Amino acid sequence: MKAALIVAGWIAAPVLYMALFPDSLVLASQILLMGLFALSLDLLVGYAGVASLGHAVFFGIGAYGAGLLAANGWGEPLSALVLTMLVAAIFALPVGLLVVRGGSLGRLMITLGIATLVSEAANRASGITGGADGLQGMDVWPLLGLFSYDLQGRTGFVYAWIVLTLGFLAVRSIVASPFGLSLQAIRENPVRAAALGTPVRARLTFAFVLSAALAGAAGAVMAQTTQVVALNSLGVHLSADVLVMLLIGGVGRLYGGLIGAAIFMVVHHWLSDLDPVYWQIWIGLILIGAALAAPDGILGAIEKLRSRKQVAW
Amino acid sequence: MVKPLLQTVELTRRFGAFTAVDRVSFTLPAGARHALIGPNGAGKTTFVNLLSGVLAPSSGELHFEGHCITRTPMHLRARMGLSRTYQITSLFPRLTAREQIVFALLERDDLGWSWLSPYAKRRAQYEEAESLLQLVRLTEEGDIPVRSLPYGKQRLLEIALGLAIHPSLLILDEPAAGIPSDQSAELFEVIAGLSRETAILFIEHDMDIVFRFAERITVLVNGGVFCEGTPADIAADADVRRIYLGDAENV
Ligand SMILES: Nc1ncnc2c1ncn2[C@@H]1O[C@H](COP(=O)(O)OP(=O)(O)O)[C@@H](O)[C@H]1O
Ligand SMILES: [Mg+2]
Repeated sequence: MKAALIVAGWIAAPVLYMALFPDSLVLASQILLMGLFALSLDLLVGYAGVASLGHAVFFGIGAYGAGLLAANGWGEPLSALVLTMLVAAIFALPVGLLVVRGGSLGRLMITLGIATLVSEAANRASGITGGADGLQGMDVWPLLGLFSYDLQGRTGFVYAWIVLTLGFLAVRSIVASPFGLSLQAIRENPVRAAALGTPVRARLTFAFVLSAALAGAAGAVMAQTTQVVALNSLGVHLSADVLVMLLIGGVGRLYGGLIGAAIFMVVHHWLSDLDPVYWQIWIGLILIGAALAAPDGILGAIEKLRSRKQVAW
Repeated sequence: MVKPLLQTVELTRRFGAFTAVDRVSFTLPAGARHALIGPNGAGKTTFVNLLSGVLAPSSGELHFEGHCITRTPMHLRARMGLSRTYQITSLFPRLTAREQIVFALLERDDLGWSWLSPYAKRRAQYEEAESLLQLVRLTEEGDIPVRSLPYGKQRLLEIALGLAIHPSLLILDEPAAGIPSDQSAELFEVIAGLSRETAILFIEHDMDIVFRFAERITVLVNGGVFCEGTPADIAADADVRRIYLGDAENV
């Protein structure tokens, strides 16, 4: 019953949204894809307990991968999506092996360092990436050969929704698997997990690779639907933003990244319209306030309220 | 001669200039009930850390079931059947007791990499987890995060986890540390009831318990083996009485 309701919600929500807000589908698609990006980070941070300040590297690899393919004659979006996910995963393997060797602060430094390196490399390689001007000239073919990208963004929205749904199902089943349980055990106590037979670094590296592939998917679809790739899609700044989205929503809860991305993007959009000069200051203040008021994110705050109510009854 | 289950040869661990475990040569047969005693700071926990792989030895060798495991990583030692518990409780605070036992069982059964089907559907492991929870009398508390369990219950879960992987050697580092003495008797009843397929090496300060459950005792002093023998030998040893038993209050 509850499961049926959730499924119905996942299907009805985009249809309703398209009927009610046909003019804001482009922003909505971006929210969905940032939600997928934050969800990929949740697998790593929330479940495996590996914090990263460089996750945008994999989003960026997905975006540039799909962008470069489309700009060089491979416009078929689905095969490009799969291919770029693979590339992100392959790149993530050595990075992951390096990252999981560190302690928690070491991991932050390593991921930060890699994000800095990669975004500088992309900047320098302007002949390939377009550098600071961004990658232009993409020609993405219609989805399944049938649906071309309309100005309203209907195709892009449905495409993003479907990819998000598949990504969500994948992460949900991963965290509920024996492998996912072992990630949570490692997060809670890596030494004891090893003492019970868990190859801790290998598991974390695999989690890193899976998470990177999903981040790559989010980046690829973002590039395919917006038809541009900007340099900031693989930098430290976006890495910090996606971490903030996840923290706002609540880590280790699957829906946290989605809720956080929606709030973050809408507030950004709304504030930059309302106060184009000082909006960043407002964002900073809101972040500080949110961290103080809901340290475990929105979902954490809701859980707390609920358990308090149960006690009161 | 029967091959020993565990054998250490001149096992040594230094921390800087300080030698915490000093050339310990020690053998343990399968199915043993062996106590390791000694004053605080004698190096007992460090010795256990060397056996389980938390620490690497500075020198010396370590053999388990005939294999040299001196450099074998911790998780592979566990997979070979060497299991331990911790003097300071080391659990998975936000998982439930049942979840963490199921996790240990899945690892033992080589299913830890499986990432496509839900762990909640693993009937065999859940049934076995239930019987382990029964063994340590935790069935009622099986489904709450263990960080909200009372300490005594956490100590019991500590042992259930160590047992879950079907070890041929279970090392218990002060299993009763930090719990009231009536509960520690209960805990040792559980330990006494364990199958002889599992050898037990335990560290314990309560000499009544040591003499009741151990078949052999090794006394560690200043990192080295001071003496080893049956409980009767140890009880009769004048030197042990002088340096250790007579001083039992502050250990
Ligand atoms: N990681 C470490 N670094 C430095 N000294 C240590 C470390 N671990 C233990 N020691 C020292 O080694 C000695 C033995 O400690 P330990 O093995 O815990 O003794 P026991 O368990 O017999 O009470 C103590 O003096 C302790 O301070
Ligand atoms: Mg000790």
